Amino acid sequence: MITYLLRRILLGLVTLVVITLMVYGLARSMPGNPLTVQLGESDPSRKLNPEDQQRMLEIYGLDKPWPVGYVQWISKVIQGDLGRSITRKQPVTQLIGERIGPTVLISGTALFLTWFLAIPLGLYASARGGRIDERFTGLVLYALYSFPTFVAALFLQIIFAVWLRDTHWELPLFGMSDLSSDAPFFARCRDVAWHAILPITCQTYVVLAYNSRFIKANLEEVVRQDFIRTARAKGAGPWRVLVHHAFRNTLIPLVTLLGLSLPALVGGSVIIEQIFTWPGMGRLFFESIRERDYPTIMGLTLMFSVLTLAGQLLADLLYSIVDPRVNVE
Amino acid sequence: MAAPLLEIKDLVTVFHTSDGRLPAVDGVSLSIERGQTLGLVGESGCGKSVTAMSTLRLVSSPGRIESGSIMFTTEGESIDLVTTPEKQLRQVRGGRIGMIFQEPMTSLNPVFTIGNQIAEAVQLHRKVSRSEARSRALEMLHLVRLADPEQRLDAYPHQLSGGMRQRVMIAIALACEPDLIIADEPTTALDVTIQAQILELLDDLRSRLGTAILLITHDLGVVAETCDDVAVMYAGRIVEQASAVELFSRPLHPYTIGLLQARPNVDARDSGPLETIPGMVPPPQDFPSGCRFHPRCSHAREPQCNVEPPSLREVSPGHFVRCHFAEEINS
Repeated sequence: MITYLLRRILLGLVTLVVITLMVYGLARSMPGNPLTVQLGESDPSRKLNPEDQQRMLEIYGLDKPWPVGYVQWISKVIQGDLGRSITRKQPVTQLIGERIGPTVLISGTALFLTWFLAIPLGLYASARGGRIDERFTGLVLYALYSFPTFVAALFLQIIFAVWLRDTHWELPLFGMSDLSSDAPFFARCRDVAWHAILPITCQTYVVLAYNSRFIKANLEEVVRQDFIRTARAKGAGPWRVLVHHAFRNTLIPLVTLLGLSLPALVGGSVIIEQIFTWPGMGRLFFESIRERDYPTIMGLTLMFSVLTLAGQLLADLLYSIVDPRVNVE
Repeated sequence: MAAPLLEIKDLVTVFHTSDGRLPAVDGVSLSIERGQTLGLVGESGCGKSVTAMSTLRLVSSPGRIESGSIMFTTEGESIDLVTTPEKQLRQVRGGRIGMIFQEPMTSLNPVFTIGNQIAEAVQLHRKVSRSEARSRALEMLHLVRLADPEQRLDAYPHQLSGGMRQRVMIAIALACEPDLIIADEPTTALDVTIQAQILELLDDLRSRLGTAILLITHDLGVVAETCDDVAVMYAGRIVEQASAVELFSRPLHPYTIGLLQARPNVDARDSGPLETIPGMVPPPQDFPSGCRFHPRCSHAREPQCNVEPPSLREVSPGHFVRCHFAEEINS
């Protein structure tokens, strides 16, 4: 077990170096740099003169070729320093710290809702397979699965923020809170929850549709196995056969899916956060790329990569719990 | 005379597929007395497994029992397994009738321990605590003579060999002391030495517990060793039925005779190549007219055999055969 973990962690570190090297190289190869993108495009009169620009590039260490920059970045990371954001003038760790909460609020709730609803839906779809009601819900889920989130988000905004304006059903168009920071705590919580409803809905429905279909497909596969016939021959009722015997066997593929959702939990959705102007990680990632804010891009990349690898490791460890045939040794 | 333990009458099980209505079992009647072993013999695809599955209504869609009755009599009470409500049927499944399947490798749930799976069968039918069910499971492992039962109780199916798993399947089937065990090719997937052990075990358990057995097999050797009565099935129908002694000494149906001649004989080592029955069992969509065996039968005569379906008739006491010319052929 220990040797297995050590091997996996070592392999993970190698993977991390490869990922960050590629992302750093790509980011630095994009046209422009933090100085030109930030100032030059919006207002030519505020353009820095070449000497000042050169001096600032030297300060940020951007005057040397990118492989040198990468080595500098990674040696700092080893010491636990993710650097400072060039465009936002604050440490990257602090920046992430500010943005992670709002993202986890949305994705955490969405993740919980997804699984909380997908498992019963999958079981229901499997138990009622082929009947009229199951076909109808299946059709609805399939339609939801194929419906792009950004379109759904716009529709939801029109419906709840425009058409239902000044009714009980009105929901905020965008943002996370309308209240100032000195408002009472509970009022602020309510306000944030109010703002979070539409983004959470958008982030839940696609994954929900996908997961419940995934569960149903896996159950249908398992239900055809010989041991299900054995369970029925023992006298187990349909519900017990489905939940105890069949569902327990579908946990194996579900664990993979769960492991993959770990990075999404803190990564957030770039599209949804952008549409709803939600101050989360997805939006930070998008903006930092637009601003060529290399330290922030790299800090976020590192975090997502670590979580992706951790999610995979977690899934592999969980396999050995849900499937006695798997032994991590 | 008391009613037999299990009496199947005119059972018709059909599969509705894109090829139309396929009668895999077409009017089968069988009966098993308490404590007796009935062998149901036939080639692959003759409908013997579907007959077994129909008995506990385990035929999965698109298969459906279309008509017939399956009277099951225990403790003086008779129920028709074809029409009895699902809930009552579940008490019979695993409780009064146990079932053993052909594939021990895939018939056990891979994610539960074998102790757990035997205990489940007990708990489904008896009001017992978890630990009582577990000790019953251990008792069953002793009964089916699995080596190291204490350790094996917490083993997973993948840690056992095929023969051991089939012992576990027998333990599950017997856990609630059923009146009848339906064994669907219980030894087909096992190698020969293990086959003999499993058959010996089944026979021993039958004589000790008084459990009747419906043994489904394509192996006449297995039947000769273990069965009291034999029914030979061909293309969805019983073609001959008699006691094992009678059937082996005086087979009447050309198909039975063919099957018996197709067996290797140790005493006649240099008797040349084995006899075979030409052709194959027709699938339900291609059942021939008249006698379903006539295209493969060397005694077939037109116009009778290809037009008129023979009925199952009693040619001597307890010996039934479905052939127009059974007496002539054998005289």
